Amino acid sequence: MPPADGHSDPRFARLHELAADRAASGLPPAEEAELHLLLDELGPAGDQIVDQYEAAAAAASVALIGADRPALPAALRARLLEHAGRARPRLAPLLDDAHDHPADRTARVDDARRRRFDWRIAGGWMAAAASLLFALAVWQTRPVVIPMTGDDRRLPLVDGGDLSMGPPAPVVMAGLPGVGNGGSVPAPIAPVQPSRDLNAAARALANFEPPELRLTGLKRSGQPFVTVPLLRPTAGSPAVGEITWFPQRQEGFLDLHDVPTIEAPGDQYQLWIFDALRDDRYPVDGGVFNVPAGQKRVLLPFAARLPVADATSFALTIERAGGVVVSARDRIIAAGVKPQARTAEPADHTPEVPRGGPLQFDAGVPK
Amino acid sequence: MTPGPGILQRIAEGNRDAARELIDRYGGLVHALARRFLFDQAEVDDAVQEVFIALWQSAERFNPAIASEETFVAMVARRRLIDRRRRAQRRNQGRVEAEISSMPSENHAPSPEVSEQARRALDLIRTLRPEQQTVLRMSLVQGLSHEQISKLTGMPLGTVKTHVRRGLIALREAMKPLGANTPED
Repeated sequence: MPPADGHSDPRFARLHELAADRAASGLPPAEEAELHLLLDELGPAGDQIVDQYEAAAAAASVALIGADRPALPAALRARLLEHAGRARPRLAPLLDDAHDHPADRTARVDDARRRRFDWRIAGGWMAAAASLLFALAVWQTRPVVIPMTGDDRRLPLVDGGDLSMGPPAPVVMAGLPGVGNGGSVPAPIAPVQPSRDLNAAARALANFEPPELRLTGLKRSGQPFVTVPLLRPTAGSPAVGEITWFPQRQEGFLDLHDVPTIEAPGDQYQLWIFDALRDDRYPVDGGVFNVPAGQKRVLLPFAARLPVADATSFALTIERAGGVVVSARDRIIAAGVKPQARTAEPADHTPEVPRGGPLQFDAGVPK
Repeated sequence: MTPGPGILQRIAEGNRDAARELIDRYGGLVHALARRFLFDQAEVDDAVQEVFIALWQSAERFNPAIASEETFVAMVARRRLIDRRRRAQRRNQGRVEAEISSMPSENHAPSPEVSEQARRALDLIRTLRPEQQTVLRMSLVQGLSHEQISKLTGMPLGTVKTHVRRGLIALREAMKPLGANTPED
């Protein structure tokens, strides 16, 4: 039922359907992928059609809402203004990946890196960025202090999905070093966000193929990636695992070994991704999970739901079940700083398959 | 009063005052959209902030040939809200329909501040049959899926899809004078 525009290419007819459905209420993943394929084939003409439908739907929404536009709540407005003061226009990744040309993104990231050099030196989370211990210390001593009164709640930004595998098994955090907050840190604000969404992308991937096979495949495919060792915050401690991050795909794999199951009811591990283009106080949530009892080594796929332009480091914390929006940073298990970007791995290299088999994220997870 | 152009351009140039102006001019619109798409007040607040951050970060993509500033704001907002709503729906299966009745109703009196594009859209929507208007409203303003609309209205799924698509095709045609023609047109 495409418009009578006289075009004979049947792909345009399908494009109109998908673009209209997407503009109305979004597409399921399979159709979103189909749309992207069509856009790749049809080029700018397809993009323009999608934009026109989005604009039509937006204009209609504005019209249907009419005059019912109450003023913003004062607390929310204040928070927005606070963000406005930190906004970095033109430096951030584009909001719509479907229309984001990779070359544009690369250029923006490079530009942003150059522009951020000064403030990094001035004392950001990853300031000089070379020392993990230094980085951890800075992170720990830069608490997030958000005035909270009444229904004034939290700062947003971080909602990268959830690697939850169901309720955490009740076990103890035996053997994990405790990390204090230095004693001088004000009580952090870590409101629980128990209803965050499952990491659909990661689960979908896990449903199709085991994580280790997917990781191997991606490395062989020529996709650029970085590998970041995760170290405990105690000097000289061995690595607890590593993260392989594919920036163009916005997905990664967390490979952990000898990380115990959390027994404490109501606690889970939470992964954090630090983006060079975001305020270091508010890393992107990489998801929450627990390690199944008896599992010596696990390989967890994860995906950033918010765009991560330049992942500079990662951290693993223990948080309340369901994860938190802003970490208290008082139970840091491990962290890692990105060394330098790696290119694709040679095709004949096969990474070691984790012992104990991959985790099955689809088990017990509500669809 | 038609929203004055140039806020997004000034934001793209790094003008922080323009960011404040954007909040004051479009905060109500974004908040109103968020209240219709999302159930939880905390999520509404988070979504509004996410939308404005996206606007600050994507201001340079604003193209007045495709959309008015107001429409662009709504485009960015809707994209974010649709994503959030779809995630929320996966979390709260069954709760969605129950909460629809509590959603704010639409006000069909056009705001004195709506853009020419929005007025044109409203004119077009008013020409549609009542059931088509209902379906479009549920889809565009509340972000309901075809399946949910079918369940709520009792219309066959195919009918819902047809109403939404035809409505949007008509809306796109109505918007076209402000946009560029595509090669396949």
